[in-house]
Amino acid sequence: MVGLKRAIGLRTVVSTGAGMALATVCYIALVEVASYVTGNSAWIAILTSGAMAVLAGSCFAELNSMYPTAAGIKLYIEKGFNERAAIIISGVYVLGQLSIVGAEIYVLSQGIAQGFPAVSPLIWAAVFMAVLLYLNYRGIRIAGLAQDLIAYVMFASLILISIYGFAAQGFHIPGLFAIGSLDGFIQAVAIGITSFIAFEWVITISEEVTDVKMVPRGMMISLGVLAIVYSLFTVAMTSLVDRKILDWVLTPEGLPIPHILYGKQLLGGFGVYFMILMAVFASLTSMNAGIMTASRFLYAMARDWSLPRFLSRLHPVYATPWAAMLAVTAYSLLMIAYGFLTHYILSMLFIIAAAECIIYVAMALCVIRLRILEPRTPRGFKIKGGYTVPILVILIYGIVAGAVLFGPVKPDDVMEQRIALGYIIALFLLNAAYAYFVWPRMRQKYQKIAQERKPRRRRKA
Amino acid sequence: MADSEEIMEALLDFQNQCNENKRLRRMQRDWTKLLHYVATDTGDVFTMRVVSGETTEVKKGKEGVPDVIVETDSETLCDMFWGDINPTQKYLKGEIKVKASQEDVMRIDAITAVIWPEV
Repeated sequence: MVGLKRAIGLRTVVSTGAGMALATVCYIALVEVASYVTGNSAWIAILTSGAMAVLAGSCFAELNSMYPTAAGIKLYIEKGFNERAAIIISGVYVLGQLSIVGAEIYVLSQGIAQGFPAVSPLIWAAVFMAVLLYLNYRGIRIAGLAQDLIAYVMFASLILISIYGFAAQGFHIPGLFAIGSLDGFIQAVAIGITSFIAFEWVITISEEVTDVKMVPRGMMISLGVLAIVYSLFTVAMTSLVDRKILDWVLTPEGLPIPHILYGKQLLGGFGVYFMILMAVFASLTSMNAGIMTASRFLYAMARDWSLPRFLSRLHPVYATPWAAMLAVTAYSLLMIAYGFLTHYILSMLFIIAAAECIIYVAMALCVIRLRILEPRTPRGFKIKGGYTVPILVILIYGIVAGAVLFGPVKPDDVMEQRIALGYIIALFLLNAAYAYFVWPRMRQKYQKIAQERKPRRRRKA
Repeated sequence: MADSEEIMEALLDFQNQCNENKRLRRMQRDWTKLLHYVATDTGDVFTMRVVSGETTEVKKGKEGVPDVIVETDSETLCDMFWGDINPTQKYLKGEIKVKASQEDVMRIDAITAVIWPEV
């Protein structure tokens, strides 16, 4: 037991893991999942994605039980392979994941504008981004009881509104098991993964839990909660809202607001505002944590001499890494601009899904490597069945990454798939060029500065 | 391996460095915490009390329920207090373990970043 004055319990671990994953863009991902299967069988693809996320989650859990630290992902890859690989892969992961900010703010602002049409979605996007920026600038993290309240209210509300949707149809939902083609199902599962992304960010609170074993347990429970909530809501949405409207939602010309349309059809005007509230909660918790985690990651990398030193500058009063935060904000704004200009939300989902698959494969490889390199390091949690699960994760997520970037997609989605592929390749090349050509020189320079400083320690004779 | 006197000497110097740094005092002015530093190889524990950014007390031994626990070997602990190592690098390599909220982890890193920016 940690024995901290304020330590986090299982309830908050679950709400943090699930709350970080549940973002407004997930509704689009869920409708996209449904578009690749027939009938109302999207729940099967979602549960499959959830089960796969459990496999990946178990790899995170084992690594986290060895090194329970917020700096986890880079540390695991560095221990398992080397620092250069850690910089490249974690760079692709963080930049790939931040694409979600663009999709999220775009979808959220379009939704809010449905309830308040007098104000342009661009204004809502600017307001929301300003709120996020302020929270992060002041170092205010939605955590603890606030996180619990928001997350559990959201989950309970989504379950209730789904059940109410079923009741409105007399609990008669056709085509619950009509999966359709295998190609379509694989693509649906691949896209379904995007709904679970960021559940692994729960490791960032592993230094403040009462018991480190709580993190793997909480991670699995949060995945279960998400899978149930997503499955119910997707089936309710696809069965109630006209399929043609949902297809329109997914086109660049359409409005990415399936959740609002569902609320409106089920509860009228109240439903619109209710779903807007749910979306604001979802975006606030996931984006607040996401931007903060990303800026602190950049800060830590700069302090580690892996990124330029100016990124480690701290605010003189709030002790927040303002320079790293500005860099993250600038990147996020680019992604938001991309969302508003192109409406290619799916390309961002593809990028996020691919980045997730890459990190899951990397984590599974780290589990195998560290079992060989560090067999005696204590593990609070060890995946049973030898190497079976890590190998399964490598195979499954390797296939899914291939399906996301190269697999057959609907004709309308081909362009967005190509954009995602190009973006992921560009991220790899950029990070590799940095790790091979910039980083070694920069580290050498900083090392020299540190070595020129006379040690202050007075050693005993 | 550093003995407890060496660590205590380093910790007292660290206390002075923290208290004399105006920028740090301003930055930490709303930070009131109890910290435990644990030398994992010798088992020594040191308590540091920070009240509104001022380090009011450092002593050998465990006192009270901490907000922050920092664990590492005695040599690293000693070097860290003297400002001779970059604690973030050790933390990212898993050689320093911190148990605290994310905000407090950030704050304790900020201390060394402000006092010894060149390290």
